[in-house]
Amino acid sequence: MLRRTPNRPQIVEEPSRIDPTTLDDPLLVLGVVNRDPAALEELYRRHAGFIHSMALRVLRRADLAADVVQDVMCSLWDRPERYDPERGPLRPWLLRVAHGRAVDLVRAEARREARHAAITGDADRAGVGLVDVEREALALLRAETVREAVAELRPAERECIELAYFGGYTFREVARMINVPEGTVKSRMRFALDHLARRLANAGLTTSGDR
Amino acid sequence: MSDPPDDPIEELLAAYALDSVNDDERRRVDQALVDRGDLRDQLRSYEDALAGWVEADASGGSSVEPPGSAWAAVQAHVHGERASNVVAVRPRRRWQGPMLMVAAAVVLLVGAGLAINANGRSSTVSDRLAEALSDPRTSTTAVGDAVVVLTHSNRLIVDARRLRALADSNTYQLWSLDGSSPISLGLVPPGSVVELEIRTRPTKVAISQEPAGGSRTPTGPIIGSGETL
Repeated sequence: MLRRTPNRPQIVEEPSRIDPTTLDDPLLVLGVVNRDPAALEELYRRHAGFIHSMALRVLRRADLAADVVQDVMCSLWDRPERYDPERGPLRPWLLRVAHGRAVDLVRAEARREARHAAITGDADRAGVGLVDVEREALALLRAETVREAVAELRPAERECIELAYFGGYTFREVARMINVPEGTVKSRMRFALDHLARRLANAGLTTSGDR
Repeated sequence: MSDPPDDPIEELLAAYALDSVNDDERRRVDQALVDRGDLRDQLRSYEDALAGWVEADASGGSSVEPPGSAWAAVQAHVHGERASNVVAVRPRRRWQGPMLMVAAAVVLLVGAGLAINANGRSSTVSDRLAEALSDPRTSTTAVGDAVVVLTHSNRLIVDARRLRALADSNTYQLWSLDGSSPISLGLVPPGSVVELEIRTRPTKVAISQEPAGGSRTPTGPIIGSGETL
């Protein structure tokens, strides 16, 4: 900041830099709006692993999953105003954008039959690069709650979610695959997501706590 | 087994959150989401649940960090854009871009200020604005299409006359970004020039669009930010 008084020499001070790791996601997006690459780097550090893990489960191809990560983060840089903090926290929004792109790729690849057999396979594993202990602890707690809630689902409900979300199939395709009416598939999807959402809400662990 | 056209939106929402609807159904849900807050809340809870599922997978050991090439590609995109911006205008030092924007805004500001004086509106603020702009101790910052003037005597004058008009239910709000959370500095109605008293000089400010009356924290969208250098 520039300060000048009649009786003193001019003093020039560097403006204080805020450590991006201390900022929450909406403020980092604000940094991206202000074209700050450090803000984007911190957002990448926080969320790219989750985006990549989801994309890899959907796509089953490491190169395409990396493309999805790159595409989503470049889009965030190009048009950060598309994220509306009022609508919800950032990670679900990023995952939703990434999932849409991954599903588009899956459908364009037209290899669904081949992938169906491999859908429950394991992928290469690596650690998550988070260092913020509080944030990581909350994510772990939320993950544990979801894991328990998923375990409470009936296998048929879980199957519908996995085929649609991680498999990239439409609910009509899921209905044909498991030979049940489309309305049944929709009901199972709704019941399953309602159950997971209710468990998170009851535990006070919705991601709105991350904002 | 196809669904009738009047299939309730609530029945489609989970499938929509899973990206498993067709284009027509997606458009129907998109339209309903515009009109219905309860559906938006429900969708948000579904997205939370799915994000939790992804986190559960990741914390269970199936997380796979993207390869380094992904971040390298993002960096190349970011720096390529920054480099192309400089070349597209003319070769110059990086700091000149914002300064030229500010200078252009100040020219417009002074011109507009004279018109306001002639019309007899807001003359006091305009006088103080003109006085501040002639003071070398004054900091002037372009924030979106607004201009934020920080005087040496800790007054902020914000020219919001070039900001886009808003519905009556909305206003603009000025924030200091110096702490870990934004601090409201005051409301800035579009089309106005306002003067705000401050206790601490902010080094970074932002303007967001908020509901009339303002918000405790920014709810967005952010229309711009800048450093008060």
